[in-house]
Amino acid sequence: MPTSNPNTVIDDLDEAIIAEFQYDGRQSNREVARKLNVSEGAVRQRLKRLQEKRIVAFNLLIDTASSGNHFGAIFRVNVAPNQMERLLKSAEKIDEITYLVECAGRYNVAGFISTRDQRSALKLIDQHFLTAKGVNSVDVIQLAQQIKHNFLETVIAEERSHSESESSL
Amino acid sequence: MRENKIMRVALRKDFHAAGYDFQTTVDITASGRSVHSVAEELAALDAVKAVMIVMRKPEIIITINTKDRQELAHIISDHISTIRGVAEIETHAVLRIRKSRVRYANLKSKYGD
Repeated sequence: MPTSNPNTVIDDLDEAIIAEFQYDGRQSNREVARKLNVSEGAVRQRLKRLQEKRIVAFNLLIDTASSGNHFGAIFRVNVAPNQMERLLKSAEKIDEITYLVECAGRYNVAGFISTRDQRSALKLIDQHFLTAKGVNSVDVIQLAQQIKHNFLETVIAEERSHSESESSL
Repeated sequence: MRENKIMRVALRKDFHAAGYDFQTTVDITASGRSVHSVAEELAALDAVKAVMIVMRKPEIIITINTKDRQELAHIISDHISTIRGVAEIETHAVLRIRKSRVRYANLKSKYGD
C-alpha cells in the first residue's frame, strides 16, 4: 500500500503548523506565521513540502446531517480470496463508498457507504457485492448515530495514487 | 455555514505520519447500562477515533488507531474492557486501508476534531 515516506522527519514547527491548520484550514499563512512567531515564507514552504510528501492534505468537510446524505452503513463482505482484489478495485471507484479496507476475521472486506437514502445504498450493495463473483456473504449494518469521527488523521497517500490511476485511464 | 458547523476546511494528516501503524475495528455489546453512555465513555478515549451506534447487536462499533500491537492490547485490556457496561468485545484487524475519503463528518459532535 502506498504510504507517506516514513523517512520524512516532521519537526516541532511542522507539527505546530499542522495543528493550526487542523483547527482552522481557512487561516492564511500570514495568520499562522504570526501565531507561531515565524515568517510567512517558512509556513508556506513547510506546508508545501508536507503536501508534496503526502503527509497532509486540505479537505472540505460537509456536516453529514446537512449534506442530504441521510443513510450511512457499514458493510462487511466475505469473498473468496482469489476474487478479493477484483472486488476491491471495483469498490474503490464507487464515490459513495468513503472507507474501504481489507481485514482479518469472519469477513475480509469492510467499508462504509454514505448515500441519500437506504434504497440507493442497497442498490449499490446489490450491484457491487451481492451479485459479485466469489462473494459468500454480505452484512449491512445501518448507522444509528455517529458519536465520534476523527476525520483529521486518515490515509492520504492512497488518494494521490488512486486519482493518478483514474487520470491515466 | 462555517459558524453553523455545516462546512469546514480542515487539514488532514496522514495516518502513518501521525505515528499509527495499526487500525482495528471493535464490535462492542453493551449490557446493564445505556448504549449511549457506554459509547460516550468510549469516545472519551483518545486512541478511539470513531464511535458509531448501529441498529443491531453488537450495538457499538469503534475504530482504534495505535502505533503497535502492544498499545492496542493496552487500550483494549486496560481501558475498553474496564468500562462499565461493556459486556462483549470482538476485534477485527484492518490489514490494509484501501480508501479513506473524508467528505462528510458529524461537525456538530462534541468530539469533532
